Amino acid sequence: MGDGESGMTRISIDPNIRVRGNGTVAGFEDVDGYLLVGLDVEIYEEEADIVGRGKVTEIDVDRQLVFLSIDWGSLQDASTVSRTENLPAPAAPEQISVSSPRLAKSGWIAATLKFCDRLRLEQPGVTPFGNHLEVIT
Amino acid sequence: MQTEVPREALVLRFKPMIVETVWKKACLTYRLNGRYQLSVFADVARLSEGEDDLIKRLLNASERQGVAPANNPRYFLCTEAAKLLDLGFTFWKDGPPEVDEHYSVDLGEDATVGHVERFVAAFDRDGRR
Repeated sequence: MGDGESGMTRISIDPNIRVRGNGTVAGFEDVDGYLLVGLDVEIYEEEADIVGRGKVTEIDVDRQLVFLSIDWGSLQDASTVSRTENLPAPAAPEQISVSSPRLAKSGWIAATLKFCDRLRLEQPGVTPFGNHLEVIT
Repeated sequence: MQTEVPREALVLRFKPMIVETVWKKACLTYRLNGRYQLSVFADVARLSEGEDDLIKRLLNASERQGVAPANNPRYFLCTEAAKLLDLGFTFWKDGPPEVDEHYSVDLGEDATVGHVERFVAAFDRDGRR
């Protein structure tokens, strides 16, 4: 899960996409690792081979989107920086904020969300939308 | 909301520019707002502003001023708005707090990977001149 060296969640972004000012958004299929609102993550763009820092600001489970604030100035060549260098340590889990708990596409997940107020999302990184939820009690 | 962009405007787009990846981003935007759109930065040159200055201003607007145009085309490619408009694409703005120089190029409601191929092919300048 996540960066094999640091355990940090990694998210592939399109550095052109801007929402809510200079924030951005990615899909669950772009996430390697767990997701929590407020989590510091490593963001990257593979074609230009750049990495940087971001923070999860919202998780939209219904549309399978994750909103991020990005320190755009932190983007730099992946080849010139080790993955864990100058990147924040993984944050402790905190309560998740689900913007839309209506999960028509994943009924069993909806049932899980209905009864649990804390969870984390893990993505094996093998199959898009192959996520499962791990409840933190 | 659709908006007018002068045909002579310079349009800058950071990578990814591989068609398959760009198509995924267009589909991501469809999930976000129901339209197949691709983000770019664009503006016309101001008085006494050369193209290099305009590119630097667009990089500043994107908060990626650390990108050195001299190292391109590693990070971004450019085109003119006219080429995108002639392909039938339109420019959209989300409105505040969207960055002034940021636009979404709308590929149409029934966009396909073919639309993305034409979009990518339009970016034929590396921004070094």
